[in-house]
Amino acid sequence: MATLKAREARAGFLFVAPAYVLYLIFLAIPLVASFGLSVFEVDRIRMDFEYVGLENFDWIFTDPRFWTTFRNTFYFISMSVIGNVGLGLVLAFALNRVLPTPILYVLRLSYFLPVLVSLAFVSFIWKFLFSTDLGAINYYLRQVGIGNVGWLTDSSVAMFSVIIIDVWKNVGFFIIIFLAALQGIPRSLMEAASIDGASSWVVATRIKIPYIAPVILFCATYATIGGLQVFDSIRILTNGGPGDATRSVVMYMVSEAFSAGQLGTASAAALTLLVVISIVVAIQMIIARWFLGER
Amino acid sequence: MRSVTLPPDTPVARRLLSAMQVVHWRNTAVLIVLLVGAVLMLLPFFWMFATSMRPAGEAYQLPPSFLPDDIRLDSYHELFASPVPFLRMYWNSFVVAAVTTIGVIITSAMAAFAFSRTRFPGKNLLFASMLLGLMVPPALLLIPLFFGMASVGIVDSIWALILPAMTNPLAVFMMRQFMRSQPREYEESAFVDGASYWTIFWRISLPQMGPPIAALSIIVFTSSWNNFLLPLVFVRSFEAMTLPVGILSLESSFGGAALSIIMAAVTVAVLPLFVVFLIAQRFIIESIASTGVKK
Amino acid sequence: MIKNTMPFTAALTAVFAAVTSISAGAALAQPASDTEATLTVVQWANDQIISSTNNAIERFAERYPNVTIETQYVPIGGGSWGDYSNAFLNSVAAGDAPDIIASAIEGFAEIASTGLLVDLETVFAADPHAEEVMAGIDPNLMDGMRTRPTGELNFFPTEWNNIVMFYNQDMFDAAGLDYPAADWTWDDFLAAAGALTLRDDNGNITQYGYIVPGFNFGLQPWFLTNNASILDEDWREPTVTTPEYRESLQFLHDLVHVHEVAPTYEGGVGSERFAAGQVAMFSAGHWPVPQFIASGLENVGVQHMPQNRVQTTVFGIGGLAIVNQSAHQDLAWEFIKEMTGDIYQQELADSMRSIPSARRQATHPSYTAWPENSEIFYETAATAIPVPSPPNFAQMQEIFERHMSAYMANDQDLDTTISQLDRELQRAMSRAY
Repeated sequence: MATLKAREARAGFLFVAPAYVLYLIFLAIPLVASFGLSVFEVDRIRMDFEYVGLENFDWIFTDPRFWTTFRNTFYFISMSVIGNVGLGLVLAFALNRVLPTPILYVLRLSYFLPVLVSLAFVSFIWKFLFSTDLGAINYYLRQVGIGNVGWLTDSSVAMFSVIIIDVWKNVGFFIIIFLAALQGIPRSLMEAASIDGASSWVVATRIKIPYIAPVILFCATYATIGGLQVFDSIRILTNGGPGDATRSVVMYMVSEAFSAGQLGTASAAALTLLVVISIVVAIQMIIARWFLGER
Repeated sequence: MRSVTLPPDTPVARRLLSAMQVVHWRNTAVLIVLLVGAVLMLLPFFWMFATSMRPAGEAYQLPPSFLPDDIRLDSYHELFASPVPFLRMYWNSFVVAAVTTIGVIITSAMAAFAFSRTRFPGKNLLFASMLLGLMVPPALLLIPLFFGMASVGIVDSIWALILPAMTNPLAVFMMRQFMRSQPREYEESAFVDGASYWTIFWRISLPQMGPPIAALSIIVFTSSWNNFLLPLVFVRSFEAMTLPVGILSLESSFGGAALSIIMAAVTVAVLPLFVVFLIAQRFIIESIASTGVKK
Repeated sequence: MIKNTMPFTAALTAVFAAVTSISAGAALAQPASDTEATLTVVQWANDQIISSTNNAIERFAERYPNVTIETQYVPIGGGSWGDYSNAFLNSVAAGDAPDIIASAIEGFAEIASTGLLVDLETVFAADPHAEEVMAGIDPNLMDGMRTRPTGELNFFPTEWNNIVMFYNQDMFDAAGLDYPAADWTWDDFLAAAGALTLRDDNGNITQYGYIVPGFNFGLQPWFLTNNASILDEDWREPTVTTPEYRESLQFLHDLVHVHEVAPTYEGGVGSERFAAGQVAMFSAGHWPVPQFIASGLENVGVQHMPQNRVQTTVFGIGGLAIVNQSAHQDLAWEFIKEMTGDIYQQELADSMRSIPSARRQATHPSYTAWPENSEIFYETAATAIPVPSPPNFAQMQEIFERHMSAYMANDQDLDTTISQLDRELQRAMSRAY
């Protein structure tokens, strides 16, 4: 048996190897390297590393802008999870019904199409739609007498606009996942419910949603992680403005690293972010376990 | 639905009519809401397409017009006559997305096989450490990755876009979850018959993984196709440039001017994905329906 | 505060004379035509640069058939010179440096501050091509080419841009206004912008007099014409607390919020709004002209930026540098000749995109044919002031644009804006050199 066990272990290692070696080279090692930088002041041209201890952490923790970007990021996450997962769920329920096939195809395609396009491309379009005085949306709002909304220029609205675009871009992904989950519900379960004469509201809330709850939690976690890392979409749309109103923590980090050339400071910010992500995900896992365990 | 005055004897009309009769009145209400939503989702695309058919000077006119006034292909001619090698970048995008997708599928299927069908020391630790990778913002790894890849001379090649993207903990996670939900009897009996681990993986396990492979293919392919960050930092030559950053080369130094050409480029870039999804959506949804996401 | 740049220039010229006389012997010999080598050239991406580079490569191949030129292009949408310089610095740090790097003035100091660029005056001493190019360009522009604070000539000129006022003549006619005069003032401008702002019956504005430029370079003249600037003339200390700087900020803010002659401040140039007939005036360099011609725009004029205290504008200039790690500096110089000579300048002029650095092409009637009064583009060369471009340009631009957008969005008042700007710039500039 010992040889069999050894053979199994060897096979296991060999099968894991390609993915894990890639993981080590392209993720784990760069990550560790990046953390190593957080206690240095780096001159990348002269490859000069000066040990500065926790000075970089001190620098970001005392920078009020760092905390502003954290607040923005959490606002973005909470809204984008609600928007993407919530709206995605509602639309998936709406699309999960008997409709003529061509209509169904077109509908699904319409909701999914934005997922297929890089935001770098469509940012031109959204900037025009959202422009304050010369944009398409405000043109119609003025026509009906509502007046201008500073979609990207009013700091209290700008982040909301970014979230609208984020939901537009990503909701199709969640719709598809939820549609798939809904179609995976065993027919027997549904038939039992319809024999009992349960209303569709009851069926939805008592049978379908509990059944797909794990998928919902998976999506919420996935959207949260994506939200914590949000960078290029905001960069392309508002570049963090007006002021710092839409700046995310990753944007802060990248601008420290690239514009200000402070690799050490950027790494300190990144390390802080990773700790926060881990805590948030751990909390979600605990909630998920508690929630699912109850069933 | 009461009858609409259509010539009832044509086959198309008859099919349409019978299709309409399936629609329940409440479905009709939902349908209308869904259709309005779909139009809103598609409006940016209408504007994109219409703009690509217009001279740039008319692009930003108010009231906005979401349909082309006439078929005017000048922008498309200019796009292909431009010194920016659009087709080359198109091909690069395709190759990068395809190779990345295949690489992710193979390595993550193998890893999932190891994690779900074999026992080896440190298995759980390896798996948990890969999950940690899910939480790392890609922007954080750019600098160490750049230095590492430059030292082996693959910066500014398509490998700089493929290899980092092939590291995909999410794929390993989804594949493993799926495999854990599948019965292991087949593998076990094949093993008793003396089949090698590779044969078991290739002949028995991999064919079962169709659903998560389909789901992951679309996730990985679209995210690679749309990736903005990697080409922005790692690629400078057109020989290796992909569309999301490459299309910005069509913009002049200070932006905005060549909008109709950019919109033509985006239209051409979106079209194949549009067609693929139109054809394959049912397969994709059914495949995702049976993945382990829900378990 | 920007005053006269002449003493600075004079000092530099003296230094150069000294440097060139010492190092004249170091000039590179012309390499043999059968040399085998590969040269890498990094430039920013636009269609004119790409096609002209392709042509230059063809010409070069006739002289040096065994030399391969590898081209790399970095898109700089939105004028993000920081990203561009950064791409270069990373590649140098990673041991993957190109032989030739193009940059606009915004990147000169940052790229050169690493000590990685060849001082060209040691390379081309007594080279007739270099002398011809340098004689054909306005001395003021040539001074802008020199890297501060070293005074070295690291970049060899290809093109430049400034900011002038574009105006829609039809809209001026419809409002019964005279076209702006060369010496018009901020007050003249404000009056015109007011008369050009039109409303429909519901009070909604259908046409704006002006659009405030939503980018760093475009905003500069509004400070310079008021004798203000973000940095002192050595680009070392912030000068945002002066009354003139304050007045400029207030003026721009009032255009949107008090006089309501300009739409809400957003990023971008505004050329597309001008083309769409939504604004009567906007500020830019020469680069929108080809697109205006392509979209059939007529009846457009250009005029100097209006002045409050001095008549001037901003300029930025671009050029090509040789990296001192290059093993083929002699060949690199030969290629730069192809990229800076008459043929290149003519192609640049034909593309109508930037202003050729050579006076001859930039003042040729075919280049100044449209829009009306295009002669002013090169006329400003003698007096324009280079855009402040310290080695930490990207950081400075980020700080400026962030506070500008917050102020223009009424998120912070003028006092806060200025004090925050000053505080952040002080800190940033203290680490800049």
